[in-house]
Amino acid sequence: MVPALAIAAQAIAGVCLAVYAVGYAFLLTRAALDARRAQRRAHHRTWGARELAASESQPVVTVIVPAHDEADAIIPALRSLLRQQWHHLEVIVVPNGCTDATMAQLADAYDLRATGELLDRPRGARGRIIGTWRSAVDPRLRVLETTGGGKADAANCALERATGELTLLVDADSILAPLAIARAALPFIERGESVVAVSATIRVLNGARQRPDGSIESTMPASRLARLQMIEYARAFQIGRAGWSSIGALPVVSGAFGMFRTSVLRAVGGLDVDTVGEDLELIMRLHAQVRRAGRRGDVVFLPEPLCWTEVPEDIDILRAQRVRWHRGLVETARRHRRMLLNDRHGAVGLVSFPFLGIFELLAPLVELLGIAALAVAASAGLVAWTLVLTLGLFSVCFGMALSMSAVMLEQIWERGFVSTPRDVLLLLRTALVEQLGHRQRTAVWRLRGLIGGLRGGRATWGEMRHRGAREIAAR
Amino acid sequence: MADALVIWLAVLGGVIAGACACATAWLIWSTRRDQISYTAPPQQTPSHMIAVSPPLHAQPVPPYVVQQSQLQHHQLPPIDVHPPLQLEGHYPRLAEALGTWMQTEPDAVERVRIARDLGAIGGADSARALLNGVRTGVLTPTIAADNLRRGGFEAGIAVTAALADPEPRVRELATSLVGRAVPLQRQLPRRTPLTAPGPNDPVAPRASNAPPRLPLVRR
Repeated sequence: MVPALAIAAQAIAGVCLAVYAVGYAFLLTRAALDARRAQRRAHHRTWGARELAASESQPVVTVIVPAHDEADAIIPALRSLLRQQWHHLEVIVVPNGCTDATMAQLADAYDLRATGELLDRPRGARGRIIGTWRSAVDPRLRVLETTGGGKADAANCALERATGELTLLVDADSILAPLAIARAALPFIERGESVVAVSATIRVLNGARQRPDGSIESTMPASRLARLQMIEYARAFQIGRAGWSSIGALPVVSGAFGMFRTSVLRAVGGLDVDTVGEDLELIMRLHAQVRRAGRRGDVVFLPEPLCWTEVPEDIDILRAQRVRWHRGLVETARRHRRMLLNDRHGAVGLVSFPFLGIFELLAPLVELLGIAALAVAASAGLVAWTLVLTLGLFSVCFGMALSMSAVMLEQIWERGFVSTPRDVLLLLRTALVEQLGHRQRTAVWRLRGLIGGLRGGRATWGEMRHRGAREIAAR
Repeated sequence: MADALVIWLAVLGGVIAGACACATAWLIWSTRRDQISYTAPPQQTPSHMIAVSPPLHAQPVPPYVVQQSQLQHHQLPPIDVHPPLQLEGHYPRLAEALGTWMQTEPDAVERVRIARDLGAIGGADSARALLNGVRTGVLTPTIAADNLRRGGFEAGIAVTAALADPEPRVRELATSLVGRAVPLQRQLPRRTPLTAPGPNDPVAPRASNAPPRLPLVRR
């Protein structure tokens, strides 16, 4: 009986590892091929983001910036937004339930004046509008102050008043590249109605420097935790999202930077206010409803870095963030479980959602149980230690190879992701540390998120301390 | 079976570790390459030694002008007969062919390239091909408008004719092009006027004069 169980455990572990390895190898290959094709096409372009940015016929873009206690980060973020090369721009900031100096900072920097707009909101909205303002310095900037209700409700409040054909949702601590709006809008203009959303690579802002032209120069963060997240972000965007996008099955557009066709965003009802993973939930709902309507709805991923965001350097904040992310994933998976293995939802229902369900949702459970079961089985003599060690070594090598490939793709897209050989070796060491401790630690956090999500109840957002944005503002 | 699995895993792990080492080596090389290009630009002629005017022996060549008398003797191919040097005149079906290609081209970037070419040709047929692209949805109004603006008088006539087009997108595009003072995006419904606030509008509380804020609803 016991040897049979041991063989079954080995078989399950082997199959899981094989599917994981083949899946990620496939995504990496697709991402690399797409990168190569995109770079070749870039040489043949006669009309691109620069031409669109200068065009008279460009559409109006509304940028929505929900902000909750973002006094330290909001001004540098708005500066990067308002210096975008785009003629027809409207920026709506929604400070929601702020208890710090966010509104005062905005008023100081942009000389806000009351507009006397109607303060009504649709039935069911959580936040109440308590003030509407427009900047006297830059009339493109509007501020809608609300009583809280969460990030999603704040974004919906701005969406109700957006006049743009395209809507860009950004976080209040996101710093954009100078041509970010033009580059994100380009797929909507080139491909037409079939594109409903565009996402792009987001990089870590910690330790970065801003050049005089407003562009960001990535430098290696001093904090080890930030470096670990730098690798995680590179892997998630350059392999995961680029790979899913290449087969038309991108399941998520990051809340820190995502452009949408406003009419479609309104048609699906905006962001969901009842989940903490509102970005993932929105894209799944978008895929479901667009398919149901018999329309084509492409969600495009741009591998070039267009946005920089600050990551937590404090372990408690990071833990809260990861628990929240996983909880959001559980909530979304439960809500859209009908899409799972449903061929009506195309590649999302058949490929990316099941993969997300197995290797993201249940990953912490499988990983922690697998480690424990192998250790117990090896101690009891049911499994050879050589097999356990080889399996562990293989897993570490594979994880490191994925991480370094992602860093390589980042470097291909924009030089300067790593600028010295010392940075490369530091990242290699960080990739090793990630496999030998950090990954298992995050698995524990994600397991808490999984349990919390299955139990239900209301999740909280937690706080975020901004150092990088403050440093950029001071420079 | 376990031994075979160990061997397979070890071999695969070794290959993957080799790939990881290659990636690291490439990354180190890429940083070195960047450093060389930034810190040591190639030696070149100092700017004060670069000639800024053509050499004296190279006299400017006058442009070749086709004389009507030459045409009478059939010394030139009929392609040069048309006085306005328009590509569409030389190749009568070019715009039509490009328009057909644009309708069937699956790659969006290629379609934009074709639209650019049609814009460069600039005649009535090109304008009609661009408007057709908008009508069938293979081209967005932004790209069509950008290229139609490059067209000449004949393109303008085609655009004016499109003012009565049954397709609303084409009609809207033509309207925006004919009335240049009213660009396409200005016709979108606006709920609030995009004007700067007046000097007497109430000012938002600043950091200096802000009243103590009551605790609001927390998430």
